[in-house]
Amino acid sequence: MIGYEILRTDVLVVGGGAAACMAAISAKNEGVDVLMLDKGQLGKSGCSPNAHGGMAIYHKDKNDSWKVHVEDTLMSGGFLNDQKIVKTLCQEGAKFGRILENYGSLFNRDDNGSYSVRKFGGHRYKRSIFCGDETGHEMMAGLRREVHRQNISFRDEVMLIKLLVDEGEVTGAVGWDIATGGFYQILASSVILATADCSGLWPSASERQRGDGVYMAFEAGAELTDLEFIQYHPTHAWWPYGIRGSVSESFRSEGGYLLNSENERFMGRYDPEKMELATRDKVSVCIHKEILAGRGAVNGGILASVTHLDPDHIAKRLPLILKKYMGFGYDIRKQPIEVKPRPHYHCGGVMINGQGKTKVPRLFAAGAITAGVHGANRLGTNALVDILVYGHIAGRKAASGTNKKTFPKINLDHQVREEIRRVASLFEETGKKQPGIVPPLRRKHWEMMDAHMGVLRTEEGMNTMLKEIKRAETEDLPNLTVKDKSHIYNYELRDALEIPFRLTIEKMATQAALARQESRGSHYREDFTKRNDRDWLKNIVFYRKDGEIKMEIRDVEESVVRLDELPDYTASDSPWH
Amino acid sequence: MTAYILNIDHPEDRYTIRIRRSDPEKEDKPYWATYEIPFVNTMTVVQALEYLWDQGEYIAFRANCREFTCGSCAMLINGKAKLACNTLLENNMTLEPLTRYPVIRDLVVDTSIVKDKIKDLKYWPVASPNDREFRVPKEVMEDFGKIYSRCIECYCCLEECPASPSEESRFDGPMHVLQIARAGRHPIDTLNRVSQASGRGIWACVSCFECENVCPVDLSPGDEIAKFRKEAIRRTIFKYFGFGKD
Repeated sequence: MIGYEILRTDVLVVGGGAAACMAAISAKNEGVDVLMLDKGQLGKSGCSPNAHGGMAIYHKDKNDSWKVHVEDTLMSGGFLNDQKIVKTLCQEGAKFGRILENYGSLFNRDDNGSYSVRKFGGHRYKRSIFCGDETGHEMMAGLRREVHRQNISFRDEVMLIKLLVDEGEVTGAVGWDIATGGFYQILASSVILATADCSGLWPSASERQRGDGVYMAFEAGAELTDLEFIQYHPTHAWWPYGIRGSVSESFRSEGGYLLNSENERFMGRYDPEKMELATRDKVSVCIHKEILAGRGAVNGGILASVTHLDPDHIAKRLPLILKKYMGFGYDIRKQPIEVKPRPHYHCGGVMINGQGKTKVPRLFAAGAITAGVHGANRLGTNALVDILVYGHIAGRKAASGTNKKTFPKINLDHQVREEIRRVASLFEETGKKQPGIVPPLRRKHWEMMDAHMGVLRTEEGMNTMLKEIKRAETEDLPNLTVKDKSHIYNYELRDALEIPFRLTIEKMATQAALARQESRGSHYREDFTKRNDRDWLKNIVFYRKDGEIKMEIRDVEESVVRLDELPDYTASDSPWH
Repeated sequence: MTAYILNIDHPEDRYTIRIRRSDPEKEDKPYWATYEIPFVNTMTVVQALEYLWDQGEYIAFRANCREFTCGSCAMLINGKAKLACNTLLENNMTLEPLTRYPVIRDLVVDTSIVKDKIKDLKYWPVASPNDREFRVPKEVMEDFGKIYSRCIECYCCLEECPASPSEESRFDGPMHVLQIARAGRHPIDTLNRVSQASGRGIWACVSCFECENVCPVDLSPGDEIAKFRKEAIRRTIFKYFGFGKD
């Protein structure tokens, strides 16, 4: 039996993005010991370094206020957001520009020295501060430096595989060191989960967002909500092949056209007023409909073109995109490119209250892992505010409930041993166990989630998905084993450990989408194409009771803004704002 | 491993690549392994590795963002330090781990010595706690936008620099000088970065500008070194001869 190392800390922060850094810094500022565990490398993992847009914190226009910001967020989120959480977000965000700058970041300024602001789709005013188109990267630059400056201890490439729970309270976690293959038992007075959302269950762009944190919180007893809402970004680069994975939002904002194979600006048929600048969820559905109607481009996407714009203007306003495409031999000034809606952000996750607490004592959550801020569809640039505001709150609250006296004494050795045994069993090949099923299983589920739980959903498709999940749970899950027998840097093992997380969350997301018989925000059903505020102003919540997954439908609380305060929104039954 | 690579329905060609592999648990020595890849136009190295991974050839490598902002996929491609995510696949390519760090497995290296430097060199703005309100001059903002915000810390320049690391001159390498320059350019920083850089061996730089050649985001750490040298010389002249100030 492999041994394990015991690590002790007051506050354990799981994750390595901006929310995790902010939480760790805020907890450290309260004078407690902090340990950060990152599944990747600090500053190089997670989604924060790749956020391009900006953060909506600065209510510069005199007609703008936190209340207007709340309203915009709610309208975009289909009114399913947790209003109290949104209110705090819009009120508290403003101070973080200066905080980050003291850590070493810098954001763009006007000539008079105040922050430059950008307007993003769905916001009524310009309120997003930014640094070029590398806002997230610059944010992380500051946060990471502060983590180093404060000497906060962190370990790279440690994957959490289980939260340790004793009598309903979280007392620590079990970690698996990817680089060495060793195990850790981490004993902590409180745990902050600041891992990513679950959009990696869909075929998203990169190595992150696998929903580890969401699953572990759920297993420990936390409640999950809004799992049916996955935001697809309409203009992910699709061709040339090598460029897949990048987002090119500015294509639309700079006046690019979306064209089908008949060279028609098809958005005119769906939304003659806003055309290409309609909201992300809507454009995604329209593009998908065109592709399904056989009017897609050669390689399965749709054409995006800026060839009608002045070449100098393109070089000035879209320098990075231009450079990226030039690297692959494409001149976007002369030829259209192919884009396709791809999974971008999963709006659901762990439910928290205004203090960043989950239902489980001593367990906190912050950042993309949480639900409530974004509702049914995330408003662009709200994510970067969310991670800072709630990272900060969770860090402070987690630290304040901590002192050495409350330090967990119980050594949950048997729970750790059981986890180590579970990992060891993945190396064994006995009975029906077939090595090498991990990659094909993942691929199959990506493809099916994209087809049945993607932009366009039908009852039939979702039932097919549920059937497949059931099959995988009974046939593949018990027979899971890895072909790569090395203990060092074994990514196949990592992915095998993720399979149970994946299946459980997939199941809950599909069940929620099946239950929600309407279309709202990023959830679009072909059999119920209208928004139904009478029956579905509700959140679908999941929790675990006696080992079973329970689903509960709860009313939305209109504590800050009532629905009738927004007549323009209520008058329409369109799923999108 | 992303979901994007998974369907190669119409390969245009079949390419061969050679990868320097090692697993300290299994073999004593690194060895070369050859693989065949169905090639699609504009396929990148990272996509080729993902394809192999999906086929059950579990070659360990790091990659996260795929759009050259995280800097984790640096490796030696045909002997040069490059990012796997923005290098197009070619026939008979060779892939090796970076040479300046201990290899963990295959293409993955242990770069923790670089992280120790971050603390050692004080990458952050050093400011007194009272000094919290500040203005940002326009030219500083421009420098950040054009240079300092853009370094992705991929360590390509550290790999290719012939002058670093150097024990006797304490030269840390081009990226670290760029980061010192960044910290010094921040409006609240109070540390004397010129003397810091000067004491960290910038005089060992041979001005070959290899760091500029390999930089995947087109920065020139060499220019920063030159600027520091010029400023250090100017200050010395001023100190001893009393002229040359601005």
